[in-house]
Amino acid sequence: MESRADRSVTTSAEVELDDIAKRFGATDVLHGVSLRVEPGQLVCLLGPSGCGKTTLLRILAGLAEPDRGRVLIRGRDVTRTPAYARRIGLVFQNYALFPHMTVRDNVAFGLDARGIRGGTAAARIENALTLLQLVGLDRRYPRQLSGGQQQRVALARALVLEPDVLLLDEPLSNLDARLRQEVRDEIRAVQRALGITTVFVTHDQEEALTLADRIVVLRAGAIVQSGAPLDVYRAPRDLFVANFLGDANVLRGRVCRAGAGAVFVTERGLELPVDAGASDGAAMLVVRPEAIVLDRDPDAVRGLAGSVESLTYRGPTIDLRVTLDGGERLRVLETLPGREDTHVAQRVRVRWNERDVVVLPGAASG
Amino acid sequence: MMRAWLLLSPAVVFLGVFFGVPIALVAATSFVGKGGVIALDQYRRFLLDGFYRSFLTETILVSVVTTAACVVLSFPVAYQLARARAAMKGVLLTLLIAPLMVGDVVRGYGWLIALGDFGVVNQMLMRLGLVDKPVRLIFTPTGVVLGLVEVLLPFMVLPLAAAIGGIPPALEEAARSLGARHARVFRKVVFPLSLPGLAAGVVIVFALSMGSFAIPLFLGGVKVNMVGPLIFQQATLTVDGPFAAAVSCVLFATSVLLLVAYAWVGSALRAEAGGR
Repeated sequence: MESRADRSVTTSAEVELDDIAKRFGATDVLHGVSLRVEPGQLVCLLGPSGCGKTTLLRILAGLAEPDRGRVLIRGRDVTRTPAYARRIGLVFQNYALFPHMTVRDNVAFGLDARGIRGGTAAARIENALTLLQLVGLDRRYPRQLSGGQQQRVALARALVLEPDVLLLDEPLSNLDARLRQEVRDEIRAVQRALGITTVFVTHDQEEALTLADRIVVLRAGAIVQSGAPLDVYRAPRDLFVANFLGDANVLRGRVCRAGAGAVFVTERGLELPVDAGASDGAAMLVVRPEAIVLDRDPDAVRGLAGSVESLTYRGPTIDLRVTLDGGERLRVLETLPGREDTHVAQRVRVRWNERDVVVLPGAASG
Repeated sequence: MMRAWLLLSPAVVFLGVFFGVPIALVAATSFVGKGGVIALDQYRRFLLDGFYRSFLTETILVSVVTTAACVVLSFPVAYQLARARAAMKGVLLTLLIAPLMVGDVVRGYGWLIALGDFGVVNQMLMRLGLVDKPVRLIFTPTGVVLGLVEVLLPFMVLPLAAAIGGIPPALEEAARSLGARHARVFRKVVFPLSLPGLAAGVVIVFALSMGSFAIPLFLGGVKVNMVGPLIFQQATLTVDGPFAAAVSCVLFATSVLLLVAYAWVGSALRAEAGGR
């Protein structure tokens, strides 16, 4: 089609979403989302339920049409291309395996639909089964497989077609905790081995942090922040991202004397030095629980005085609540060895590195 | 277990008295031969006499065609019904069930008028220039099939819609994402997974069609030989009780055989479909 060729754009991105908007009835599900995924990258769309991440994935897959905007895959405008013509691999939350077909027939389905049969098909099926450690299970029906095996069949079925893009919709949410980690690592290994561009939808921040080359945080149909997992974790752009990605202690107050000697003054009057760059006015200071250092030396003078309010041992870590003498309460996460004798009401001094805190402007609620 | 039986007992007693006993009586009557002796005369007459056997073969033929037409016509309706949103589903269900509120006799009479030589159907065909003189529709097997399909369609649509409703839409989406167009999605995913519902619909429609009475009477008249009107005629006009009983028993046996076949095929299909 000529019109399609005319509209195609040369771009290095494997997948490009341009100003995608979608309404369902009176609800704005997505308003103007733009996103680029580079070849071979694994991007996680992260957000709470209802943030539009699954709708975005369905638009990418061709299972939903955007009201506005364009979808480009390998530079080709596929906005109006139906799902069956898109060359995408899709893995569903419930795997959506065909219950009336064997593992082999499930994997062969896409090849058969594209007219690939006989020896070529058999060789590709064999490769896919080997890649996902399904050899010997090919005659089983989905109901005869464990959750993890079903997940691998869903992956094999998608990957056997050598799609341009692999799309995964919360693929781990139906697995128990131990299996989830195993399958997660497996997905990552296969994705790396094939170098396949992948978009992964999840509401689980740990999944996103461990899997992604890039995290895209969505909230209420718009992208809040995107970047490398560590960057987003260390420098959340707002309170929502700070709280959604890991845990955060938030102190409310204001920044004074912006510049080299900037300080953050809490609502209770505590003065904390902060990095230059924060501007004067109402602000929130965000510090991760694991960035806080507790000094148990009774003679210590540096840091903020406080006492341990409660503590929970979590195997390798201790989870503590510390109340500062000013009344502010902080959550602190420490690694265990050498700290076994911590007790409630113990006096401590709280410190952190200025590099590890983020100052967010405004006094937003939440 | 005891409580289950206790709860079931009224229904069991009712069926036993008003279904089991009459069936037994009819069966007993059917073995009364000439001169009141126990014999297979009635069955011999019905199954071996060419004239009477034509009633059985024509009934089977009409029922097969009716069932086949219902299958073809039901799939689009059942699919829409199964995949419609709640509000739309209510509207569609009402439209589907509403005709059942009107009895067979009224509908048979309605069809008789509509399909007549000067009825709506023929007038439309002629006005559209498709035919130049009225097509004979009443008192033909075609007419009977038309009427039966209209009456029995809901009995095919409902079990089929239930089966399709049980197929997760994600399966169809998965098929599409794997490169399957609509026809292939239907052929490879929707159709095989809806077979249990289809089998149920086939059994119900075929059995109801075999035993139908009002529609063949109105639309077949004396020209289409069907078993239902034959039993009525033998029992009330000819007053040949034993023969009417024998014909009834053959009809009943056909239905029972069908049900047994359905139970057998059905369990095989469910095993195949994964029974999830």
